[in-house]
Amino acid sequence: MIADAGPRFGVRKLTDRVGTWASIVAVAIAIVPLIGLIGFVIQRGGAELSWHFLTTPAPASPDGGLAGGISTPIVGTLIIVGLTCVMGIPLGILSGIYLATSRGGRFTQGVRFACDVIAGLPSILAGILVGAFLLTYDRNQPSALAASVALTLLMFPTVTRATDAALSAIPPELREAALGLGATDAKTVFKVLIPTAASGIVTAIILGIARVAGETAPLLFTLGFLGYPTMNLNPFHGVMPALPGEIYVEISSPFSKDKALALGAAFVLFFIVMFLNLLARAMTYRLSQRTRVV
Amino acid sequence: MTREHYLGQLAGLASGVESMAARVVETIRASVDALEALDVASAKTIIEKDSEIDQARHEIDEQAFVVLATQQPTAIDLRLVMAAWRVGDELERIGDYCSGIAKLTLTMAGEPKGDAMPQIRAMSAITIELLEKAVQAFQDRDEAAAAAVWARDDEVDDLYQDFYRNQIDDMVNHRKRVRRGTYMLWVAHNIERMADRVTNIAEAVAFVATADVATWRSQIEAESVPSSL
Amino acid sequence: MAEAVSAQEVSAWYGKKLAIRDVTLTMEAAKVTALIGPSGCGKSTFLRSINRLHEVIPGARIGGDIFVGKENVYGKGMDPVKVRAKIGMVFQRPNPFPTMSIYNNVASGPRLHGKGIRGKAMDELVEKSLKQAALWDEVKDRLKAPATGLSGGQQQRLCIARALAMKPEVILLDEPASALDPIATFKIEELLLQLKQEYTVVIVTHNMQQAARVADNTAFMLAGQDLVGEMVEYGATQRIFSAPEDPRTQDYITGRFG
Repeated sequence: MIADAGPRFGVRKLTDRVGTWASIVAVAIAIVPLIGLIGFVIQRGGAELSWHFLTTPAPASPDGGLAGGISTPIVGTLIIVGLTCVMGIPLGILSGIYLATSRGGRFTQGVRFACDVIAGLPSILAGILVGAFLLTYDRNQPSALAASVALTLLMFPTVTRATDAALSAIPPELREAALGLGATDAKTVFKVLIPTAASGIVTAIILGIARVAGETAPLLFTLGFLGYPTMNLNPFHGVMPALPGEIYVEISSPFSKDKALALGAAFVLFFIVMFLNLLARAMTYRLSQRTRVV
Repeated sequence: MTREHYLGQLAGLASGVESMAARVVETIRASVDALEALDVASAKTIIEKDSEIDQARHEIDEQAFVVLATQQPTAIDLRLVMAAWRVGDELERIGDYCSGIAKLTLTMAGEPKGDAMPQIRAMSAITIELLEKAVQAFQDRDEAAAAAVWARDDEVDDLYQDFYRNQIDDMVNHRKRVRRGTYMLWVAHNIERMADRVTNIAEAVAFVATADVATWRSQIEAESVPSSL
Repeated sequence: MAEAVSAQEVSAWYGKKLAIRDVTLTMEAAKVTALIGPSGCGKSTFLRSINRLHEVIPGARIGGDIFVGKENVYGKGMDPVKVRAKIGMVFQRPNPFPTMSIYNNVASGPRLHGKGIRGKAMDELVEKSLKQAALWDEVKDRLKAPATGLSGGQQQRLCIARALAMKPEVILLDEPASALDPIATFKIEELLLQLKQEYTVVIVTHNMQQAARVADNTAFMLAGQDLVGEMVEYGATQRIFSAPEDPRTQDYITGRFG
């Protein structure tokens, strides 16, 4: 009886094959732009890479081109992203803890809704908002701090949602185990729940960093980029160079040497983002092996 | 380590049976000795101590009941508990037969002694031997040893039949010995009944060891020489 | 040091819904008491009221008193956190902390309380607790290994060791063996028989044969038509399983329910 497949079986097999191939083709179509982008950046930008490129300050004027490098934008990006983390990570984690451990109610729902809205905020709006609020819009008082604030707005919802999800995914038995031992709620959260959720949280942080490292629009309204900034280590005042901005300025220049610089900078930026993404994946895998719950 | 508490309960049950059996063996010996000597004091003690044998049986009953109610024994453990229950019963009946002999001793006090004792001794000796072997078989869960006991039931039966005929003849020929002879017939009857109970104990051992008493029995019957009776 | 646990007219609510009503019951010191009954009869609710874990659920509350020794767990000013430190609990599914090693799991209780036990003193405490939980021999060579690498039965014994490290007076177990295979179950039962020498043990089980094997005293609970759980009968286990007084008890034990 089983060997007698019948006509329906043949149709099913055919449908299965068609579906499988359709999926493969769709994926291929989706990947092609990515491959194209990678190829373009590596080919054109990779050519610029050199130790000189990475350690020389950015050119101070158009057609400074290859005499310059991207050391200052790299430092600037590090400072800005660093400030963003300092502000965004605690904000995100604490908000996530609140959402995961609250007992529901209007306020919690409101917080969740606000978080979701901010998560979908177009980055240029974040820039305008912060710029207007911190009076940098008129571009008379640009500051890296303002840029960081804008980027924080973009970063922290990711961290909040990941923390909330990771904590909520912990089986209630673990919380009960800690409470049963006589731990207070605070100790339970910080000594048991957070460590267990650590992999999810860390991954979200890395992805958040990867995102804000490349954001350009918020920088426009808080740092301003119509000039060629020199190095400025003061985050509270004054324009600071950053990779996305540098790319924008140099690629807008009509000189080919400047464009070449921009592509080199794009390559570096792309590389950083890819690296962070892969790091996040590796961490997810490794930590999930270690903290598997029965 | 697993289920030590439960295994301890089972061991306690088995040892309860064994110690009760030891007491009963002693009582058989004592009752025959008292009969031979027509020792009234000794006979009275035996009758009093029968209640201790009853008490031992009640303890076995209770222990077995508790194990059944709380431990859900299965397989050989379950058979052991049921066998302990039955063996306790049989031992208590043997104890009653000893009391019966002791009461007959009291009744016969003052009567002249006859010459029946050697045969009574012979019967009781075999009965005691069979009981001891049956208890050993119970300890070892040994159905072959139990089979050996079961097969020898005929020995006591044969002795009893002989004794019965001799006593009747004797009583027919000597009117004055009728009273005493009747009492001795009762004594012999009690001993034959004891041996019968021992056979039941042997069957209980076979039940624990094999769970298939019918096959065990038919094997014995196939191997034994047909009875000369 | 074992103390008796005496519940006086304990009732429990989930929000507006009454779950158990006026349960009165004394669980003897250094003995095992089992709570049996069909699903929904409130036995777990009652168990969690003993260590004040019930009230952690939003909207849940308790009425009545529970005395551990002479102290009323629900007395004025009693800190639930301190109560839970003196009453250990083991749950249905083994729940060792997954980010911690075996050693750290056992040590987690005292550490969470900041008791300042360190070094050799902590080593000894961990060893003693693991020995009491009959797990030491199996893990003594790999104390730093992750707790999640143990089998289910071992993890459950680890949870017991973790509770014992707090040196509680009472140990509560909520269906501790229901997620385990029969051999692991027997090991846990044997362990409880040993633990009762030093602790008062209260166990909820839906396996009444387990209650029969392990408990000195057994309480039978049942939810009536109104879906509110009550205690029907309580007594020595031998008596409950051989000659219960209440016909409902007998119906449940003999499987004539429903």
